[in-house]
Amino acid sequence: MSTPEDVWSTRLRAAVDDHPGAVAFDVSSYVAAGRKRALRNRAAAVLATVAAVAMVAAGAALATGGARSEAPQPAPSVPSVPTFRVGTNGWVAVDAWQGGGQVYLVRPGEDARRLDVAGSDASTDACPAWSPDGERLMFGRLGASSEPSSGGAELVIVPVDQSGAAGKPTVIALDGFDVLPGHDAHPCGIWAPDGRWVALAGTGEVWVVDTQAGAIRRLPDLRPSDLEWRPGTDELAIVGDMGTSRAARTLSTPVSVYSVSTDELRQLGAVEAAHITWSPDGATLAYTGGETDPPDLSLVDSDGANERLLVAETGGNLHGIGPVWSPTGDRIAYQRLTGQGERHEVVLANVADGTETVIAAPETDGEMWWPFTVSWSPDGTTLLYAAWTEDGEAPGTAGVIAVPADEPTNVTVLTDTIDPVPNYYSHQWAPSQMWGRQ
Amino acid sequence: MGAAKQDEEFAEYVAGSRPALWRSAYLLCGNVAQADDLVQSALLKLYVAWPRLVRGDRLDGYTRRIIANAHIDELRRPWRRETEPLEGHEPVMEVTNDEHSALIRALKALPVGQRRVVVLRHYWGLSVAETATDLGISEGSVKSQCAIGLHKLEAALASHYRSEDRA
Repeated sequence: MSTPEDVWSTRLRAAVDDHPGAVAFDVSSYVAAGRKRALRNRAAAVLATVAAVAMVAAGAALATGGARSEAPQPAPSVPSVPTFRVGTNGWVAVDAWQGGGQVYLVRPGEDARRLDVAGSDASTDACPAWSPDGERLMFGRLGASSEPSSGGAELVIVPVDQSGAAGKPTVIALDGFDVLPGHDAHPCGIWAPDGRWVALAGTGEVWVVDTQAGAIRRLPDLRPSDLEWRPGTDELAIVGDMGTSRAARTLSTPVSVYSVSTDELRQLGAVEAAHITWSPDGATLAYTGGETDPPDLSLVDSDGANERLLVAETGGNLHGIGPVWSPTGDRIAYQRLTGQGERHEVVLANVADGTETVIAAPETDGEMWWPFTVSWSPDGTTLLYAAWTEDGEAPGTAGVIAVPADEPTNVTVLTDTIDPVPNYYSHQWAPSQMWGRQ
Repeated sequence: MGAAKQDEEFAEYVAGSRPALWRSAYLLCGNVAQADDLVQSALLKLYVAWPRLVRGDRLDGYTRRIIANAHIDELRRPWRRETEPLEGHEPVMEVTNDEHSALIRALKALPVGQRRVVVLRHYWGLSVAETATDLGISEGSVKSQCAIGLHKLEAALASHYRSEDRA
């Protein structure tokens, strides 16, 4: 008589043992690819050694170079506590990809709660974004069985009260909406400052949606890697080229600025970029390039003039949403690789002088939190990490944490029960409105 | 060990183990192209580590672990890929058998921890202790995750396997 273990072994084997994918392979191709990888690793090791030797030599030269001025002592930091209510509606909205996509609300001291909206049981929801007044939550929806190209994509806008209860949703059908192959299929909108217009990117198009009238404007020939509304205006900056599929590299493009009031698209000087962030007064744009460009962080005035470098060599990254300007205007946050796999640290660049403050992976109860995306709280005091965890060598879970920018050891875990990450890879503007304003 | 000798041994190991690795990867991710990527990623790491691994007796365990870890990495690095292309390799089709497709879908619906435990325990046939060692988790976690995972599979596949159970 078969045991349950035997039964499952038989079933699993039956499902894959005759699969042609298991036997259709060429051994020599693996050997050739392995040789390439080994060569690349060796070259990287040589470069690292050369860099280390150069640093040691430079350090020795400095040490023997005679008197030098003492570095100024930093002012003692003032302890701060995450202010989840000042300037916010108290909620952070998160999409969990388990189950295909569900929207949750989280705040300190409470379990993550799924947003209960009519129609969500038969759909997958993703990319929550709070309206500028913090009273409505927008997210993208796909019918459970529908493909986006078949007309199943919708934007859902729902009022949410202080208790987290959702009111009657407004649903805007996005007929003909589709995304680039291999990318998350949900529509991911970003609110304009007026709380009326919403921008999102589809296959080779940017859609600008009037959420009051339901009218849709489609801007062709654009595959942006970043979108951001200019604060205080009706202008949308559009940058980057994602290529035609997920396998393509992200490239810089000229910065296009679309005006809702004039319905015109113009270029912002000669600047080319792949990721952008506006200063909170809308006067300056910070930008970085695509994967083939030097990893510099630069600034340009809103009229396209006065291009200048803020930080050279910001380092590489695998994750993140590009630079994110703090609501207080004094710092820009970005992520960079630490050199250990896909682990990133967060860097705060001082806008006034380009100096940097590095925030290493926060730790809670022996678990390190490594960021996928980082954005600011509305009051500019706190960073919101969508992150994965690691406990020693063991893989952990994922979740969302709040990290005070000036006291990063004082971490608040908002949730470690849901995984908030994978829907952001093709909609990197989406996390910027996860934290509700007031 | 010379490079040519190393390549020869590695090629021999790949020829013998790649089908099982691919099947495991496919059970873990439920997608042909991703299974190809996982196996490719794992075997690249294995090639680099080969000189120190081949002298030990942990080769299979290491390879299983890098398949599982590559799967986690794949989940965690959603918008970039970094692999050397395999020349002349074309992806094959997904499974078409309804029963098998249902099992793959049900596995895919499991949380990744349960899925890995189920695959290691019931596809690889590892013991609870071996599975715990491979995954770096406690034996208690292996037992509980496996029980929950199988229960969910039973529930999801009740209609598909009902006739088989009666037979």
